Amino acid sequence: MSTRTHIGLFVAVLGVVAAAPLPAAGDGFALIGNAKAATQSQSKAEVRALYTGKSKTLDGNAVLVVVRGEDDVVFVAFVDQVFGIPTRALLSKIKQEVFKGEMPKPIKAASDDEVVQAVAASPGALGVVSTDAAGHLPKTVKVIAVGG
Amino acid sequence: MQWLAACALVAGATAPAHADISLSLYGDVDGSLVTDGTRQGTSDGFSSAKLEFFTAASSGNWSFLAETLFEAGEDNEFGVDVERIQVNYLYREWLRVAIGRFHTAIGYYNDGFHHGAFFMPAAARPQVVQFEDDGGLIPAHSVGVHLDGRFPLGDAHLRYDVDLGNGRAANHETVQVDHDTNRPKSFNIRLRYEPAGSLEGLIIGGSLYFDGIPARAADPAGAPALGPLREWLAGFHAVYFEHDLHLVAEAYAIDHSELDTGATHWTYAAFVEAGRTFDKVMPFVRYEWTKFPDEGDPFYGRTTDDSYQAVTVGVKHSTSENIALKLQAGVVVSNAPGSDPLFNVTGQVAFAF
Repeated sequence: MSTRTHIGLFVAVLGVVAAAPLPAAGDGFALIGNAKAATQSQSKAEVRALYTGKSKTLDGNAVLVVVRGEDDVVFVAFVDQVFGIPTRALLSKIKQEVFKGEMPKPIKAASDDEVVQAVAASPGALGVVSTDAAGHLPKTVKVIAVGG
Repeated sequence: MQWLAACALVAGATAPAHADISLSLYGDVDGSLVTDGTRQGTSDGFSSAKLEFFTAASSGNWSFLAETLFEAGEDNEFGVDVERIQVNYLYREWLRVAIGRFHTAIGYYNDGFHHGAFFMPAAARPQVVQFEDDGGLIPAHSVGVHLDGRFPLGDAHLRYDVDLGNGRAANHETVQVDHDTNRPKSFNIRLRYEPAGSLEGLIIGGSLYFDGIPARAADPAGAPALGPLREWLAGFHAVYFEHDLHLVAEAYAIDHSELDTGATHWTYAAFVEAGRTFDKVMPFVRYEWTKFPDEGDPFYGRTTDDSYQAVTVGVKHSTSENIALKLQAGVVVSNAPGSDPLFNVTGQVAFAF
């Protein structure tokens, strides 16, 4: 194959990769859900609605979100890329929505393992893990692709 | 006795044998000065008058929440109010049912901020949407059934809220939490449009509330007897909470019609609140306007002299996940002839643990 063909193939592969739904909206995190959920992908707007109580169900089950610490690198990347706001602002927003009665109190997790455990325990749960952890998930949870 | 009941509630909330119940504490401590510019017209002091236990639990599509407020009143004594107690069932995205005592789905502020001052920019709610026992004009609480849901409209969404409740008592400060003193029930519907895309974060909505208010006998405190009333409340609201902006605008028209005479009494009120977040700091400004009818409103017991305009300017510092510091200054200009503007300065420490 010529150099031009190699470049063409490379560009084509890049195009396919870019067009396909990614397991995460960017480097550093992956959104995961319970394996019983039928949902395979969510848009960023849908994820924002799910994490702030605007959308209350995921495949008919009550949504239960799992949050991580304000300084957690994985969670910070998720909030930055999906919400575009500081993590503190999102946590405050969630707190207010819980107080309003619009969503159940989120589960707090301190590690990928805790997120996986929490998401596996509830059919409507959503959580965020590192991309490393997303490559070794148990069968009880799955990656939910985040679209544009 | 009330303290005992509340302690039992808290003990129940933390007992390990029960289902997972989360308990949060909300409250605030204030210092304020109010003056009309004269020595006699000046008052100041501190207030540590609110402590709230917010309990919530969920199990699958069922959930429960209760808001129990310890609040001191004019007598400087604490009393207990169960402000909200709701059992919710989430059936689908388009239908959630709640029964109990809840905040009526009127405007944005009423069920957007509830009793915890922590989330609000200002130290207190706008006067029109204050709670019944704080001189507010709307029926802030309802006891009955609430439905809500959300439908997609293309990329946007339409949200509805419907309330059916006991409605108002003859006294506008009373919430009919135990039983209804008349047959007509209150009915309220609110519709909201939530656009998507570049307008995500914008909410535009309207609500319509109807109730029959029972007659009341003359009050020994001075309120005259009053025949049965019909109440209509129409409201409009627009809010925007994206890009560090906090914008809330609400407007109300409230009619109390006397069924015996056919006389109608229209009260109008509106407020606008705007703020912008810079890291942990949010400066804000609020303008309020309320106009009571020329002939007065017999249900509120207000006359046109009670009409007012108010401006509040302040700053909220979100010090931590649990603490907010606020400092604000304002002026209230009454419609009463010869009345002086009333200036106020308030500092507040609001907490949420």
